[in-house]
Amino acid sequence: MLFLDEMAEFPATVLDALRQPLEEGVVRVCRARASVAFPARFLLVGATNPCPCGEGGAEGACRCPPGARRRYLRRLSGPLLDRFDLRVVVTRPDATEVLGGPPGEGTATVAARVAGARALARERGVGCNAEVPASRLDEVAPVVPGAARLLEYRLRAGLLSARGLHRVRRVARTVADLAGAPGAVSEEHVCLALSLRADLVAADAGDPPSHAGVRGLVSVPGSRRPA
Amino acid sequence: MSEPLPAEAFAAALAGLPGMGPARLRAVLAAWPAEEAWGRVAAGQACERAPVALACRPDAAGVAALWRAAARRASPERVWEGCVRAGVAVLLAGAGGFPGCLDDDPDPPAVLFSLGDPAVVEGRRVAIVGTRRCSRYGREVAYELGRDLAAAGVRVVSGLALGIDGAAHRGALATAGAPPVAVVGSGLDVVYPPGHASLWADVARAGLLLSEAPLGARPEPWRFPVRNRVLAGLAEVVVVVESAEKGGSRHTVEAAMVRDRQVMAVPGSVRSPVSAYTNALLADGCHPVRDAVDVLVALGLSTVPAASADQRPPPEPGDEAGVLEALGWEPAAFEDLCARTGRTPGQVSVALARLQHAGWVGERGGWWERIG
Repeated sequence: MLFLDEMAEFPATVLDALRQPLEEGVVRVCRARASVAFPARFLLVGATNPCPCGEGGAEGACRCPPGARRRYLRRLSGPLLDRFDLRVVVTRPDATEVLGGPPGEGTATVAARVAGARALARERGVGCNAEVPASRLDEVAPVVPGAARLLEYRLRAGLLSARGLHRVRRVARTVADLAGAPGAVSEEHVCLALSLRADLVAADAGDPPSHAGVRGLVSVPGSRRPA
Repeated sequence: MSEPLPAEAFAAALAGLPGMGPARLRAVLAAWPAEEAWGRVAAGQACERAPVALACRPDAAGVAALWRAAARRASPERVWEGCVRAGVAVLLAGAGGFPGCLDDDPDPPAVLFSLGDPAVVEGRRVAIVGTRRCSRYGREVAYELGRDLAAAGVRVVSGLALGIDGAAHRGALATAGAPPVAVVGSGLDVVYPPGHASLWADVARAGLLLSEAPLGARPEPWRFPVRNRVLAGLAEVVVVVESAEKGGSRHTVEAAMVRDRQVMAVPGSVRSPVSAYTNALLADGCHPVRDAVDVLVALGLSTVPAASADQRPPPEPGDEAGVLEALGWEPAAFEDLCARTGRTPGQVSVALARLQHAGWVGERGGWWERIG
């Protein structure tokens, strides 16, 4: 697992160098006499603030000029973000939540669910759903007609790339597996998968939400099975 | 050259010279016919006429030299080709198509660039202005005023800026009513702010875009106060929805008062910094605006409220309507919506996907926002 904290502080060239190993699972080093491939199947996790000042959450708290925000997020290139399976916006919890809101689910409960989903993936002959090849998606993760229409609209409207479509279908399969729903993936699970794919690049494309914007994000990409 | 260039081509080229503000352009075009004016300026003779020299104080000779140098590099043919290619019309003061309400303006534009049907300005007009950093309340009120005034046949005039301006125009476009009019600070081919590109195009298609700035002009800060006076001149009533004590709306209000246009203000919370200026206006005796009817009364129009101005069918009752209501007009994160509605993430995500498909909401940077 590779965790990049403050991901937007890395130079864009460094980040883009991750694209090829993310896609192929190997790092190739080519010199005059030889070319060597090192295994590099890893789970990439990144976290970033929405802007340099890090205050982009509370209303009107961000002190960055719009240009600075734009430049900051531009370091995360579209192709790189497209390779993340999950892009989640993390908002600042309010005081009551920090001081003891209702307790969430226990880790053990969630771990059992995850183990169940992993077992389903192994039955399909892969380590996890992210490894399902695109050619097998129709067999492994068929979607109900309503969800298919929704995905088609997203594709046509340019809200989803072809690569993104495959990733959404794999995530939707996983969401359905975690919910214990076999068979065709329902509209609800496809929508949940889409909502785990926050549109970060467009965050600067125009009329920003009237005050500040993304408060923080955690992106879990190319979830290859950890080696 | 197959056809001689029209006067508009030379006026547009003059407007594109550096340091050519409204007063100087007016003086130059008053001194000579447009084609001859271009020739004189290119020959460095601009300041031979006293009114032009007066407008170019304190360094009239320097300005004349600057114009001469710039005019040698520019060509009216190219400027005119650019206008024709962009579908932009050039309106000259006193000529056909130029808004009649600006004829007796104390500081009228000499040239206006327009995209859309210039006849649109001939009708009742109300400007809706305010801050870019508006609150949810201001955005909602601006949207509703824009929608209801347009439905009542009143042209909504605004500046296409972020915040109040954009909300007012979105409202005006949401109904099949009067066409919207926008007065912008940059050139008509320089969309500013970039995020309003689609709104910009929608206003040009449904109504009229006007700018005093030549094509290619960047949105330089000095252009906006200058633009605000044109906005005030075009309106019969100026409604300030929200503005902080030192906001840009102040320019528009001052320009409106100089021109004897009625200024009205939307009351806001006394604790809200973005209502400080509007509340101060009210304390000074401005008429308050509670809804579109107050504005229609000021215009002397029928006070019968416009029935349901929004033409679209409302979203499906149930999850979709519940989520849209919980969203309101402020951006909200996904989990906020789950918490507010008490619905499961699955239900909320399906509702949001359908609302997005139907054009009610949009997502940016993980934030959901109502757009229609």
